[in-house]
Amino acid sequence: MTEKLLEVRNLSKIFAPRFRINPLKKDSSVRAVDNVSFDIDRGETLALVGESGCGKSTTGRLVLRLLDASEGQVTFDGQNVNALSSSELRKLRSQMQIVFQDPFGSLSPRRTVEQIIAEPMAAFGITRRAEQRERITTLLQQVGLSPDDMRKYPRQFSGGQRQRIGIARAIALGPSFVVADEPVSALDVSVQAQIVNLMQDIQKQHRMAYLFISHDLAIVRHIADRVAVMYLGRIIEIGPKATVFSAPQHPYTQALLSAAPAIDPKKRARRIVLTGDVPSPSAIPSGCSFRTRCPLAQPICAQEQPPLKTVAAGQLTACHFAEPHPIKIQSSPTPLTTA
Amino acid sequence: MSAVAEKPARMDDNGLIVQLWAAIRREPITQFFLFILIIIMVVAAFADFIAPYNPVQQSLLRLNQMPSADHWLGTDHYGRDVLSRIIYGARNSLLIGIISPIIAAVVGTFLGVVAGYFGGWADRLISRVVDLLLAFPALLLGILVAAALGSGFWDMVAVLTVAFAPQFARIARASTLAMRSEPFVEAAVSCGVGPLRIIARHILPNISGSIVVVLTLWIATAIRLEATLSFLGLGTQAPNPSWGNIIRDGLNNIFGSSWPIIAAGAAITLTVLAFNMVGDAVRDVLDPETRDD
Repeated sequence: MTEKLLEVRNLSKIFAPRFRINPLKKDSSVRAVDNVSFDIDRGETLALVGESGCGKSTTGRLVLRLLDASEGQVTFDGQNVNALSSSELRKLRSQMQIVFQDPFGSLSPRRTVEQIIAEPMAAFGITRRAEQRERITTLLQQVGLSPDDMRKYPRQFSGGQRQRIGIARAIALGPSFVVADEPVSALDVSVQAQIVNLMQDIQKQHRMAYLFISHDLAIVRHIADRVAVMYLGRIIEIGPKATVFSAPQHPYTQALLSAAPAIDPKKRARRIVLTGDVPSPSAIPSGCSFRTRCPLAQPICAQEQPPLKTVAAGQLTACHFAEPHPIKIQSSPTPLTTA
Repeated sequence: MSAVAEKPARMDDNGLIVQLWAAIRREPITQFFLFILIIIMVVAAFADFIAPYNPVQQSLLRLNQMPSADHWLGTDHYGRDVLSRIIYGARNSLLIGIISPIIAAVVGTFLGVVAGYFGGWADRLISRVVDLLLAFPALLLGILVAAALGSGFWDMVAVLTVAFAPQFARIARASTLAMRSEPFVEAAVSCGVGPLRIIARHILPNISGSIVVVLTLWIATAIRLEATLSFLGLGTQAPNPSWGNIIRDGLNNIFGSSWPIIAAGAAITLTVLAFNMVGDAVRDVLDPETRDD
């Protein structure tokens, strides 16, 4: 049974300088997120992958309206998130939460674990100390910490433990959707696995949906149901994990996957090495934004921006040369109309 | 000042008072000035009991006397005891010099936090007014406001508050902007915590350090500015003594007796120096990054 929880349509974010200092100079506004659309079902994990600076985190914040979108619409559980007043939005925050990348910065150094986890509860009217305590005890046990840790300060914990505290805070109100903004990239590899497994366990118990932002393909392969690949603010390929990983259609996705290390030398794909640097997001190439580094680029790529088109069940690719391919996955959960 | 550098700031481990005391204990000079400061404050507070004479009591029989056993710092051209005038003057100078920066800190911090946290038109309005006030030198601003308001005690406080509040507003705004982008503040927003609670719980506790540092350093400036305004005749009015108008009076009579000028000048210098030294120690503890050694 699938039920759509989140619907993102044509979401864009433009960071424009307030004043143009030199009127002769080119417009320096940055299109951090450009026309992004995707859906997430209840209990599903959509992984958002891409290089640093491609707009993954901005997308996550736009979806939660921690940032206001320039264009586009986010519909969460039937509510238009962009149209909510600030008090309505605050009420919705119990349903959508975020786990941050930085386990050190995201916990206030001056507050105890108890105060940190109690904060969202107090904001939603759970103010009785005893009730808070009881819930915090359960939450700490759920994330693998001891209830005695309640009185400690964040600095007394390791990175992984701090991230567990962050997760406890995020799930304190039982949200149905959590944006995980590179939740493990700041952690040691050995701890990464523990945290990812913890997040999966919690997801199963609460039937939460994740927007899992990451640049680590190994972790994405482990946790995701579907994968969206971003390049310079646009989603260039999206689809079920199995198809995207086994039959990537966009040359950028292919290059990304070929760069991920594989333990078995026989399974190692021939490495596609991209030339050049990622263009500045304030000067995105015309047409297909990837054309400046694409091994397949043709004149048409500079003229027309390739739309996302269906290449297999549930898999969409934004490339002029992507062809429908025969891999069959039974019924795509949400056929996504192209933007 | 190097003593604090040996140990990294351990703001989270000990209470502020404990740390401050530790920092002061490591610096004998700071200890000395703290001691001076305490003495000045005690003298100002208990002026009624300590001052040997009535500071406004004139005596034609004792004009322009040199220091003696009866009058430790001599007398002025009205025959008033200089030591008593300095002691009572400390009360005016210190009260105005301490109260006005505190009020300025409260008002300025409020405006700065509002501007920094909410942004938009509130920020634009507050920032422009602050810029406007900052464009005037504090002394000129003081003269303007004093001319408009008058020169009573609370008028002086108001003058200095207007002169100093923009400084606090600017710092509070900048610190708030920095705090606003801290992940733990974003976390609180994402948890549905309201803006007032975020300001009270996350912003204010984290910017209070830099505000207190600025406060301690501005007290010295406030004492100086009050003295300057009184010297110019815009501050505390005769016959009530303040260090500034003692110098003003003394200057008119410099060939009769130079003791009032010397004594009041020394009092101002010592107090300003003491506040600056202690302020430096406070800054080293609360705001180790701005240390300039």
